[in-house]
Amino acid sequence: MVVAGADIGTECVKAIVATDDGKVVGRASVPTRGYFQDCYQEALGNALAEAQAKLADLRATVVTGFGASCAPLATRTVAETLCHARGAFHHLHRPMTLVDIGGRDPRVLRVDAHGGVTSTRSVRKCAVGIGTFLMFTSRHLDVHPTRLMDLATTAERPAQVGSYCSVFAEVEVIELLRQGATAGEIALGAMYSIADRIMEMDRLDGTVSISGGVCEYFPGVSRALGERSGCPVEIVPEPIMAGALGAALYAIDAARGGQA
Amino acid sequence: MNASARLKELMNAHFAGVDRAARERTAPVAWCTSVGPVELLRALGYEVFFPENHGAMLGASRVANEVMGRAHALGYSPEICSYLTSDIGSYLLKKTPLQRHGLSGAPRADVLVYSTNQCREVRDWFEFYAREWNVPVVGVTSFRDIGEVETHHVDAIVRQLEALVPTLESVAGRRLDAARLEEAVGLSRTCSELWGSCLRAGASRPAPMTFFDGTIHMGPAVVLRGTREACDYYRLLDAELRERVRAGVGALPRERFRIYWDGMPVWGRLRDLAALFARLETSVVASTYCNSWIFDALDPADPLPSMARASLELFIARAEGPKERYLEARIEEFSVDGVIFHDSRTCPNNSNARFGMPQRLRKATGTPVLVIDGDLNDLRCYSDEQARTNIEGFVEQLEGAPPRATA
Amino acid sequence: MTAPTCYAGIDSGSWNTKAALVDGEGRLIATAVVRTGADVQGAAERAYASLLSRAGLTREAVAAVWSTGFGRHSIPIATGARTELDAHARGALQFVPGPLTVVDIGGQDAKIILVDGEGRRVGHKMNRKCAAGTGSFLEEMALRLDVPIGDLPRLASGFVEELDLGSFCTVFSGTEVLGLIRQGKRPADLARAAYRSVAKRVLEMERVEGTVVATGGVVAHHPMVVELLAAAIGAPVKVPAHAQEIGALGVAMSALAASRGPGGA
Repeated sequence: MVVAGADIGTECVKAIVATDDGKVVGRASVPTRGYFQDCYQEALGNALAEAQAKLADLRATVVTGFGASCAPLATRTVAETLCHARGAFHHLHRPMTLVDIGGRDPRVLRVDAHGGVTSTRSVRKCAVGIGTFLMFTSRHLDVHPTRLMDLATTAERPAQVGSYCSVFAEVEVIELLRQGATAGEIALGAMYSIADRIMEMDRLDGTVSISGGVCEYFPGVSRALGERSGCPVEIVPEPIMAGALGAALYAIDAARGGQA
Repeated sequence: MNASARLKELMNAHFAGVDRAARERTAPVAWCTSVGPVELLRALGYEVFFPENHGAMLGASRVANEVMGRAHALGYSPEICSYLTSDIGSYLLKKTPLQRHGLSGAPRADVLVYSTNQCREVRDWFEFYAREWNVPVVGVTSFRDIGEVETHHVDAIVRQLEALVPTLESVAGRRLDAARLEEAVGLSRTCSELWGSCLRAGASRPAPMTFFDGTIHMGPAVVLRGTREACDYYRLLDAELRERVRAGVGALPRERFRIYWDGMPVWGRLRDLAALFARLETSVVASTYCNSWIFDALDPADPLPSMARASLELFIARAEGPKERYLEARIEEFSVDGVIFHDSRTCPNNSNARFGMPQRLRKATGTPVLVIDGDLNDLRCYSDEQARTNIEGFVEQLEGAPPRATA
Repeated sequence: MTAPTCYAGIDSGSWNTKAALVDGEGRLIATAVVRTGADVQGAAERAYASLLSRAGLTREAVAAVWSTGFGRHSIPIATGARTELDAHARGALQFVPGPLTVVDIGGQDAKIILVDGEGRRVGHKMNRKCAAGTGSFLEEMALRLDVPIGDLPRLASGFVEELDLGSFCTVFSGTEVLGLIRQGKRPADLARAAYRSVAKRVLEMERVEGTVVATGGVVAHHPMVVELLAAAIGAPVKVPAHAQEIGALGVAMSALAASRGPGGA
């Protein structure tokens, strides 16, 4: 008997298939393009294939994320904050300050000793602190987004990338190149600017854990956040899957008859 | 400019003086807003620190953007005054350009004194420190958008000034002496006249000093108003400027165009903008900002009412009508070819481009206007590229304009 | 060997670098457009080489190269520079006499330039430090709609329902589009809404009246924006030939005028 959790995000749709004792047996991530429903079905299909299971084997499915309402057959939807906290807590088993950085809405969550969320702060309506911003930056550096981290590791110090507007940050990128900054310094600078925006959201203390897709692909953000905040920072295992994992854990609850 | 060396000494001595008083408890220390009731504080023997000056230093040294995020995290929005957010961020992170003056940080106040004649932020700003240090915060809640300054306005502010006195006396541990207050008001008045004279030198062609120089030389008019040192400094500067005017020496080697600047400086880009205008042979000859420390109303024979009137007549506190008339008069006085409005994102009260004033001014005077977006301290709101294109494009426009019939 | 008689203009934009060549009488000989990428100077060289090859000429034929645009100060082959504001006004005046209002919509910024009856610039407005109403905004929308930017006009032409995007910010408009996709809105209607949004933001910048000329890459490649601008102001909007290269043409004309000495303009 298996359950599924899916995190239908703005950049990627993530799906996890797990056994009812919490063992992950299938996982998949597909980029979000076109209709959410199609992406969701593709991701879920891939995860089921890896688990060698069929849709009919699912005892419960919990969805979360921006496109959660596009999965009409799901058992229930659960808020992203709760899913990320639960996913991270499943790995770490302790209270934490959890920073979730995905495509659009970074959040700072306080998670208590039982995995519950005690406070949430999200970003103001400004796009620089988010994953999409790194996609914009890579576009102007003429590299594939997955190469941005390799570039960043070549830099000794970050370039100062500091604009409120992601699109204007692109102009800054060209300006920086013109002034002689290397592509690596700019790539690293973009990661520091994400860390700076995160720092502005809430006061960070104790050990800071990071979940979400950004640190899956751009772990430089975690280094930058550690340096800027002075806090020890760790990336949750498989950070991009944390929300989907949390959703799958809620699905296990649902399969057991709803008791948490 | 020769006076610059003296300016440096004076500012250093100011910082050292307040810092020593705070550390060694040799005199009571007050924080005061830049156009607040400083004369009362001088008369009571306070050493006075002006956090807006510190805000400008944080901007000019570009430390502001490194520290303001800390204040945002505390709940002070990026949309409010970036002096406030950078100053509080600087305090929390213990990072300040004052360290270059030998101070470890802004000196701790025994009392904080504001006037909201400029904005409400100053009060919230001071209240943060009042909670932090458990010291009294007092101030004047002033009028805004004032058309004509009426007697009832003045009376209301006088009552509020009088109400400050008991707290200020108790913190200082001495009584307010009428003669000392008259003396402080007299010195403020003299300082204001001398600084005004320095700025009026900009009406000469070529202008002997630009707005960018002015933002540096205005230091004593802000932080040492009501002292003899400030008066002495402006006598020195005024004489030097008069000599330049007599000799026909301009601030720029060549002055093709003359510009008036309205709004805050972009502190972190002061040098770049000065260089850009110099390259364009365009002199920014006058500004609302530097003029803000000219207080015509101050009268030692009538201390509190004249202080009240001076604080109300201030440009920033006025309604659109009086502001427009003021700008029209400055366009005439300084025979400028164009007006640049800086729309400073986090300083709405010092941004006059938000209610159609540039367009009305252009219509009324025929003077070309330009609005540039930016901020006093938060460089995230400023685009170098856009500002450069805007300003170069404006100067090109002036090059193509028919000769203006100016005096 | 004949004396050089041509004048070149290079418009170094954030997305594309445009070049134009005029003869000694100010007649347009050729234009070229290349992608700017990360190397502003290299792009200018490529655009210039492409320009000469299209014109069938060599560098010896060119008396002077002037530059405009975002990268105008980074092009060593250029001996003079004017802002885009000047270049677009001058370029538009080659096709339409003043007084006129030039609406220029480029990759990262939008400008409204006011020109009087004598052909003198009397004022301008640029967008705030915000990319709404620019080509980048359309790029982001195309990305969200999962079509190449070149297909956006065709997609939008099939619209059925008029939708409004309310966000100011490009990235948050992207989120808004995702939300509308989630609601099952048609991509064609969303593409149309993106164009409506650009037109609306541009018209919010400055009062647009009199003869209106639209220029820039967005105008050249997304005619629906022009159509929407015209509908909103209730008057025709003129689009000159070479709307995308108009700044390059304008600055080439400046180079020519300068060669005739002061007053040659």
